[in-house]
Amino acid sequence: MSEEGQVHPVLMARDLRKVYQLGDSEVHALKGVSVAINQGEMVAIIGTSGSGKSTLLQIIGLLDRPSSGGVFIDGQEVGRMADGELARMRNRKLGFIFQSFNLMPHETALDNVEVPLQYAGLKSKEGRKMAAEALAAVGLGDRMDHRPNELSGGQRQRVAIARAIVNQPLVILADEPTGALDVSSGRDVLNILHEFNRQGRTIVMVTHDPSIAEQAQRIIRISDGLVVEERRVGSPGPVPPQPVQPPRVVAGGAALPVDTTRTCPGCGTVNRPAARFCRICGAQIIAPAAPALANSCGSCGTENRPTAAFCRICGARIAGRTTG
Amino acid sequence: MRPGRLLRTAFHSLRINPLRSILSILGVVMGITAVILLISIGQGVRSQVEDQIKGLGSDLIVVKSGQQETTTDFNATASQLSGQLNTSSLVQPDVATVEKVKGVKAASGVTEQLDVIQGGDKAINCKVIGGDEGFTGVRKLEFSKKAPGWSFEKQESRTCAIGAYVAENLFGKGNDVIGKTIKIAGNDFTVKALLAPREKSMFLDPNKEVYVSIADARNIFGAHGTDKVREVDVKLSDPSESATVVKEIKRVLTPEHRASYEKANPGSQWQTDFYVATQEDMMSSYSKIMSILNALVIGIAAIALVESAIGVSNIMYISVKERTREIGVRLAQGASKKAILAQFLFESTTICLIGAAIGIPLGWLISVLLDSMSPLPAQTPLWAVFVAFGAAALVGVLAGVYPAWQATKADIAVALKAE
Repeated sequence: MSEEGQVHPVLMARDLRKVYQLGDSEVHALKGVSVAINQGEMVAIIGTSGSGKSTLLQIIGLLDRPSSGGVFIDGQEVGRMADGELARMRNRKLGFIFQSFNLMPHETALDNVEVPLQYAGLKSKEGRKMAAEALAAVGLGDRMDHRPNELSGGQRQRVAIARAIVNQPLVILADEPTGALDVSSGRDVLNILHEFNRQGRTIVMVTHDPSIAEQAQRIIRISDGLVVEERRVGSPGPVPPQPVQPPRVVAGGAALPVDTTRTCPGCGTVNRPAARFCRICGAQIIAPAAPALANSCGSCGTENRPTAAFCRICGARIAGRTTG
Repeated sequence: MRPGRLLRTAFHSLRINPLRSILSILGVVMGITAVILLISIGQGVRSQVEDQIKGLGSDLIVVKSGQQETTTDFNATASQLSGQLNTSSLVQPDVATVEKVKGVKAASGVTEQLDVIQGGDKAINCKVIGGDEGFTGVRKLEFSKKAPGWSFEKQESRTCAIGAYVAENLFGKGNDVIGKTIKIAGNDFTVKALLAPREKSMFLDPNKEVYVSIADARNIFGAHGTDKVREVDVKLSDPSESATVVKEIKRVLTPEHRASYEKANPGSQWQTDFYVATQEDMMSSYSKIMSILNALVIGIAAIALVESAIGVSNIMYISVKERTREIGVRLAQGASKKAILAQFLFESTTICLIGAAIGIPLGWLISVLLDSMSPLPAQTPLWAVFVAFGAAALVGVLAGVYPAWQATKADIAVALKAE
C-alpha cells in the first residue's frame, strides 16, 4: 500500500442483494451490500454463521449471481457477461481458496495446481513448470506427486493456495481458509497468505475468527445481510465509505515495486505484477528476465544469499524457500 | 483445454472408477461385435449365393415353363421345385428345336422335384432330378464311384446316381452304395453311381440330389405317357452371345407353341407359355432376398447400437451426478461450460472407441470361427470395420451429449457443496 491517491479498487460490489427461495418463504441473504477492495489490500470479511459473508464472497467471486446489484472486477461489469467471459474472469482474475480445499482427490498436487492453467490454454510443459513453481512457493516442492489423501490438512490447503495463485490472479478469495485446520497448520496457511499479500497480492478472506481478521489491513463486518462495520485495523475510527460507482480504469502497479510490473508491449498499459496477459488489450506479455527465484526477494527485489529463506532487508519470505 | 490434455483427463477419469468404465466399455463391445457379426454374415450369405449362381456357369441359360419373362417373382423359384411336371408347357421336341439354334452348344430336357427317398430303413427328403441323354452335356456330373458299364447317357431304366449326402444318410458313412436299392416316390431304383461331394451353401446342398432318367421321372411324377420336361437347360457356345440366343430361342419356340396350343384349344388366344432365364435373371431374383436380408441386418445392428448408446449414456449420467463437485471445482478454476461439455463428450467417446477397438477384432474373430465351424457363412468386409468404428464414435457423441449438457447446468456454488 502506498498513498491513498494511487489506490484503486480492483474489485467492487454495489448494492448486492441475494434472495433464496426456500419453499414458500424467501430468505434474504444479502440486503444491499456494497464493498470495494483495493489493489494490494488484505481484507477480512467477518460475521457469524448465516450472516451472508460467504454468499457475498461467492457473488464477488462469480460463483453465484446476485438477485440484484452489480459486481465490477478490474473495472468491468460482470453482470451481463456471457458464460465464456465469466469463465475467463474466474480463470485469469480470481483465485479461490475454500475451507474444504476442494482439491480433486484422484489428481496429484501438481495436477491439481495445473488445472487453472489448462483452462487458460497453456501448453502442458509450460503449465507443469508454472504449477511446480507455485507449489514450491507454498513450500510443497517435495510433495508434487502426492495425492490429497497423502497430504496433511495444512499441506492440502497449501496446494489449494498454489492453485489459487498459479494464474497470477488479480484477487485471491479465501473462504474460511483455516476453518478445517488445526491451529499450527492454520497459522502456516495464514503466514503464506500474508506473505503473498506482502508481495503485492490482493486478498479477500472470509472468517468468523476475530483474531484472524485482526491480522488483515481492513475488516468488513457483515451481519444479517448488511455491512455493519468497516474499519482499518489499528486505526481507531471507521474508514470513510468507499466510493460506490464504477471505478475508473487506472493504470495500476505504481504502488508496487517497479521491477515486478508488466508493461504491455502492444498498448503500453501497465499491468499488475507478473501478469501474463494485458488487462486492456489481452496481448501476451513477455516477462522481463525474472530475477532468479533462489536469492532475490519477490517483495523488494533485494539480492539475498542463495539459501536465504527470508529477505535480509524487508523480511519477506522468499518464494521457493521453505521454513521447514 | 487442449485436445491432448482432454484425452489425458478422459483416460484419467476412466481409471478412477474402473468397474464402471469396464461395464460401459463392455456394453459398447457387445454392440460393435453385433454390428460386425451381422454385416459379416450378411456379406457371407450374399457372396455364397452369388458364387452358387455363377457356379452353374455363365454359359448356362434355362427355358422354363410359365408366363413370366423374368424370375423376379419368388413364386417362380418355389414352383420350380413344387410345380407339376404334367402341366409344363415344354416338351421333348422343344429340346431338339432349341438345340438347332445357332450359338447353342448343347440342350437337355430336365425336370426337378423334391420328394422323399427311402433306403435301408431310413427316409430323407431330397431333390430328384430327371435328365435326358443330353444332360451331361449341359450339367457336369462327377462320380466318385460307378457300376461298370453304367452311364447316365444310356438312360437305363430304374437306375439312379445319388449324391454324397443321400448315400451317407441312407446307408451310413463309408458304406458301399453301388447296387443298393432305394425307393423314389414308392418306386424301386438301383443305385449305379455315387456323385463326388460338392460344396454346399446355406440354401442349397448339391449333395442332397438324386439323378434319374427323364423317362423314369415322367413315370414317377405323374406325367406317364407324355414327353413333357419342366425346363430346357441350354449351354451356350459363347456366353457373350447370351442375349442373341435368348431372342432366337423365343423366335423359334413361339410358332410351335402357338400352333400346338391353337390345335388343342381352338378359338382361344395363345399367350406366351415359356420364358428364358439367364444368369442375370437368377441373380436379380436373389438380389431381392438379399435386400430384405440387408434391411434385417441393418435393423438389428441399429438396435444393438442404440442399446449400447443407452448403456453409455446411463453410465455417463451417473458419472456426472457423482462428480458434481469436481465440475464445481473446475468451473471455479475457470473452466467454461464448453470445456466441461468437451470433457464429458471426450470421456464417452473414449469409452466408445475403446469398445470399438475391442469389438471389431472380436466380431471379426467370431465371424471367422462361425464361417469355418458352422454352416453359416461369414465374411468381414473392410467397410464393416469403418462402419463399426464410425458408429462407435457416433454413439459416443450421442451418449455423451445429454449428461454433458446436464453437467454444464451445474450452479457452481451449489456444485461445490455437493456430496
